[in-house]
Amino acid sequence: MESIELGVISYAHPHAQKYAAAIAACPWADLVGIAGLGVNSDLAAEEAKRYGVPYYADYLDLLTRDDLAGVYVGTEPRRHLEVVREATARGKHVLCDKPIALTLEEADEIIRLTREAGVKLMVPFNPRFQLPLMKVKAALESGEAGELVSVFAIKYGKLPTKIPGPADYGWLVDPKQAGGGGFLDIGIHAVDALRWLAGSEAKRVYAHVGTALYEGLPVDDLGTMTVEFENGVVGALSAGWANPDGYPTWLDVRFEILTTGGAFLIDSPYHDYWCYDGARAERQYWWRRDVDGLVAEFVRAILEDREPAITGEDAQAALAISLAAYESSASGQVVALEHG
Amino acid sequence: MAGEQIKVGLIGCGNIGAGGHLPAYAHVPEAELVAVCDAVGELAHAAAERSGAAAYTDYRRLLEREDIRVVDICVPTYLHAQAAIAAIETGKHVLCEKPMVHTLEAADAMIKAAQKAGVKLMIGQVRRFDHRYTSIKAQLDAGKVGKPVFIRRAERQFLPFPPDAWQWDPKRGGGVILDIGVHATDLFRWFLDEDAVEVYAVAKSVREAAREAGSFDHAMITCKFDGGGVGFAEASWAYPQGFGGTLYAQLDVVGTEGKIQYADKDTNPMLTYTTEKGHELPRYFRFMSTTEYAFEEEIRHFVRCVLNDREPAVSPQDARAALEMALAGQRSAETGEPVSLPLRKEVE
Repeated sequence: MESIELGVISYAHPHAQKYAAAIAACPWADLVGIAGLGVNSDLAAEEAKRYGVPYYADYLDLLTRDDLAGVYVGTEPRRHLEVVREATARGKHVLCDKPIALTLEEADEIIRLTREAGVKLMVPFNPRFQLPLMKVKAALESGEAGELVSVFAIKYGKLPTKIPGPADYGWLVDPKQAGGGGFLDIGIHAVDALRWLAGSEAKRVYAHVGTALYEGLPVDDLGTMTVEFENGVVGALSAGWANPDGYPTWLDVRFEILTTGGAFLIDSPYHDYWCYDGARAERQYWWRRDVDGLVAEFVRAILEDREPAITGEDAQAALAISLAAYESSASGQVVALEHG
Repeated sequence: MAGEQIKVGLIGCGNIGAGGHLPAYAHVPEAELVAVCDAVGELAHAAAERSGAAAYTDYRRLLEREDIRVVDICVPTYLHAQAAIAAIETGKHVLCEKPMVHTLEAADAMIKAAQKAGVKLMIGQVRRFDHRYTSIKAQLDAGKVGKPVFIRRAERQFLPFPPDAWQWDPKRGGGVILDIGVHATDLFRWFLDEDAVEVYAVAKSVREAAREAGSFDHAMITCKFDGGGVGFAEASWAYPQGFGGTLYAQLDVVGTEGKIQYADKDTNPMLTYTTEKGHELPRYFRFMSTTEYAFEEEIRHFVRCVLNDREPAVSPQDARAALEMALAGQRSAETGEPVSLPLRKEVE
């Protein structure tokens, strides 16, 4: 069976462990090396040991490996451009975690570099590979569900600095490194999902984004946005770090979807069960199928030499909508988006 | 109570009047429903037969009865002011269905008339009497989630009426933002304990009836408050038939120290299965949007306020504020821009 060699660069992002595991498990890929870059390099080294693959203190040493086809980039978004520049210079495909960059200009540059190098660029937005949303998208595409009218969605998580374990995710609450707070961090997945379900570009955005829950937090923790797409679909999203300590689920996702043919209510993107440990109840998701699906899509796109399901342009469009939400919140006005 | 009873006249025996309010009187011993009125004779007589009250087709005749101290108004929204002011001017205390009325001018006329006559006026913002929401309000008041800062609300149903029904008509019923949105705007004010400074709404005409009537049946409404709170509502009549029952309402209240979540479907205590229909969540209340008990509590509260000469828990100013927010939402949906409060008069 055809397969390719992939590596992981940086454990700065809380998703890195999940992607390393999904790459290791992917039938068409082998995890062949892990590089530390920035925070949580100890964790990266530990993981390399666990997977029995070399650890690279300098990620350029990983990128110069001839057998390496591509990398998952789990750095803070401010480093994405730098890493993509090095990876594309060596002809490596890039699975770059979200948001693609801190600015639309950086996103442009990342897209240009990968196009010129002729490598694949994909940004993993989980909802596209969550089974309930895949069913909805299929029902919309087949016409079975009629036309999409609106999506009323939430995406709530807990404050990332409360993620258990020794890893340091403090950069997620540093505006210089993360570019935004809870609304950007957790919301951008749903922003992409709204645009994907709508099958249209955003036209107008109105939002309120702020620091409502954690006094003194240097970034926003909660936001609410209404987005109108060119085809008339309305998206409504509330997203942020709204799940308090002790809440039984880390992640809450709801998509409530009205179509001209009916409605879909998605209460959770994953299959779950409840675990009671004597003190409290916790909801456990038993399969993160979306991460496996995202990695498989990236790998298949490389093997089949085709565009991945989620492109750099998609990621840039999601970033543009998110940034428009921040702009609307600051100005109190509706922000109109232009599309060339 | 010592057996003291107040005689009540019900004006309007349509969906809410006959379906919601009328049966509630049987469970409010402080009140005696003695007269029912509807311009449609059939409806008045059917209501009279069910309740044992006298039937009227002209509300002015009902208002002439001196034994009636409380009038319960369940006529279409655009007729609220006319009926309420007529009742107030005959010295009756008035309980009037939500939304208060369809314009701020009419709302102010109602308030002024009640002040002048020295009678009580309460608008039936029935969520404030619904056990689900009074329980959540008690948790908020007890500080269980810290300071509430964000409320996300969905109120959705399939409006079962034909396109010529007044509910669809922007002039007579106001469409979904006024009719359903006013529940959300009132809930936001009540829970946040703040006043709104800005409303933004995006709305659509989804169903054929809404398009024919030229009104909105689906809306996303954002309300910003003076204390920093935010309310976000989906108000809709466009959801499929059968959806409204056990899936009507959803509520998240996010506070600085916790969160409260409510959804009708999560609290439905029973699931039935039949080979013919498959899985069903049974409906326990005629209106899932409002339990029968909420109408009972609302009526009981108002009647007790009259009996004991106390101020009702929902003031006319509360109802006016909820209306003003809904009207701002309507204007925002029409113009595409956020609308600041207080609402300036429409320049025609």
